[in-house]
Amino acid sequence: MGNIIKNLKFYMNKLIEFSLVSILIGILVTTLLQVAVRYFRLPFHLPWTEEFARFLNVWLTFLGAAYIVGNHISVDILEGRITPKAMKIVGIFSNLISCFFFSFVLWGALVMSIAQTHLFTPAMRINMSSFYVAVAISALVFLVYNLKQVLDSKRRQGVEK
Amino acid sequence: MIVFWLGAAVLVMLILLFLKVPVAVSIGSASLFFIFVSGNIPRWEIILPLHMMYGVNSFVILTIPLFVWVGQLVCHDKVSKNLFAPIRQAVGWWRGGLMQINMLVSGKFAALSGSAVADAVGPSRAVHFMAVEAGYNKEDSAAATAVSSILSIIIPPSIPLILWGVTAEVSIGRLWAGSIIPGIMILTGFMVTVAVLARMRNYPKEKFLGFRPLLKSLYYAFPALLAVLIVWVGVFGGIVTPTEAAAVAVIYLIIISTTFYRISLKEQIPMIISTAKESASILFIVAVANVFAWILTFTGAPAALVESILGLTSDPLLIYVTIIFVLLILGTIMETISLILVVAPILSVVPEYTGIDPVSFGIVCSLVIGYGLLTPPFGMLLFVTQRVTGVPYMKIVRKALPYFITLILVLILLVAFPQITLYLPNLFYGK
Repeated sequence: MGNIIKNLKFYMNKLIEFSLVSILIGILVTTLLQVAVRYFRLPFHLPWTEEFARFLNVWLTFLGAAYIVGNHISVDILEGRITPKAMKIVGIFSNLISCFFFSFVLWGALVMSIAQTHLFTPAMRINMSSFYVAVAISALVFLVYNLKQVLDSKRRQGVEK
Repeated sequence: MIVFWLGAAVLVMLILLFLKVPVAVSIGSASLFFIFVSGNIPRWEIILPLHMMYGVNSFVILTIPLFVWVGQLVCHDKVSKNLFAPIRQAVGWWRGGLMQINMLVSGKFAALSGSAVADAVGPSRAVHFMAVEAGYNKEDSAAATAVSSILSIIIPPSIPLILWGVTAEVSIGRLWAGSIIPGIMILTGFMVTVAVLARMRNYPKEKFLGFRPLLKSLYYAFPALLAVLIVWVGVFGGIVTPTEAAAVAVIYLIIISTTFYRISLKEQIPMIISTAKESASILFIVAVANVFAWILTFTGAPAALVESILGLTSDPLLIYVTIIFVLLILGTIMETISLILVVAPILSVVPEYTGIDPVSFGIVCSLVIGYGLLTPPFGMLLFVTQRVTGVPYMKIVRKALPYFITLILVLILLVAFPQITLYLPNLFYGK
């Protein structure tokens, strides 16, 4: 069972990496297309390039943020200045705050992705709810990660006793 | 009242940051707090996802992943090695040459990528170990590594200035153009400081190898340096937007690094993945900070704050100096990007009320926030340098003191003579 989960995690990571690489290449190519069309005065114009690049940037942000969950920038002022036990309490508190924040984000993102299913972007007709799905996925990953952190530190404490 | 709640929200943010809550979550939770206490905000449940999404659904913000990518490409061993070489040959034979190199290399990589911490971890670090091997004092060299990294904030293309431009609604081209002269001033000041210190502390020097090897090394560095030219000419010539310039620089560097510098296409993939990781950590903060910025605009808190300050004093200079001090203190606690994202929407109303030019104001504020990276007790560049060089924190601070003369002098000049920052933007883009 553990093995299956491990494999699943491995393939999930590979899938996300593949998506992130494709997104960045997509951003590069669409932006270059936009320059080329304008600079070489090509006989057609592509109204969708900017919109598509922005769409990809939204996915890069939220998918990328989910991928590096646990490695986000934080301030290490307390590290090494207080006892490990106090540090653990600070850690639990920090994770609970994150849970609280991301449950709000998740809720709002779900509301938005349902409310905007009938709206489309002007040039490419991308469904607006697909922008919010990225936010929801990201919030869900953060929520699960932070909950797991809290439960894990509780369990470790139990073993120590 | 709204000013009071704004202060409370900032306090909540600082407390959460202090308790090791990730920066993005701290800003987000403070925004939620602000939403609740200021009341009367319709449909508050959708504000978070709505404005987080719109924060990054922006063509200008696309410059961030693209310039992070540029940074990854030029920091690859095979490219950065070739970028070092000509500088080493040109100034290595001066007394204290390797520390001059540290300054110049930072200046050069600043012109290529634009992230202070990346510079301290990457190229500057390499020069530091080169210098220590050549017999330089370890502490002196570590201090040079830390201070020189600050150039990335001020020499275009600078990511902090992009973020200032987006959040305070100032033209990014103008901000970049305006930061060129201050950047050169700081670089020159640092180099003079090194030259003086080199005489006083008797630093070693290397042999001059002759002009032929110098020209040869220039030949190998030239293709990568051309990327700087592409960005500068493209943006300052008004040919492309910063985003497009970044994309052109990326594709140019990919082509150059596979053909001229012989980096295989397979090696490009890990670079793209690191680009995604690094940009996501910045972009996510950008997204959340946009919620904060929106609430500020919606409630009109920044204007209320400035008006209440104007009630106390109407002297623009006094206000300017106060802002600089506050930013300096905040800059020691928070890291550059998040701090800019939090304060720029608040401060963006200041030029309107005081008559300070918004371009000059943006550059000075971003620079001051950058100074915070070098100021104890929490200056982040100092921590990073301590980690990569192994030199204790306080020793770096003590050895870095002479460089502060330059930093303070430049700051005073910029505040006293805004023309320094306005000359080039007016030249490039007209008044």
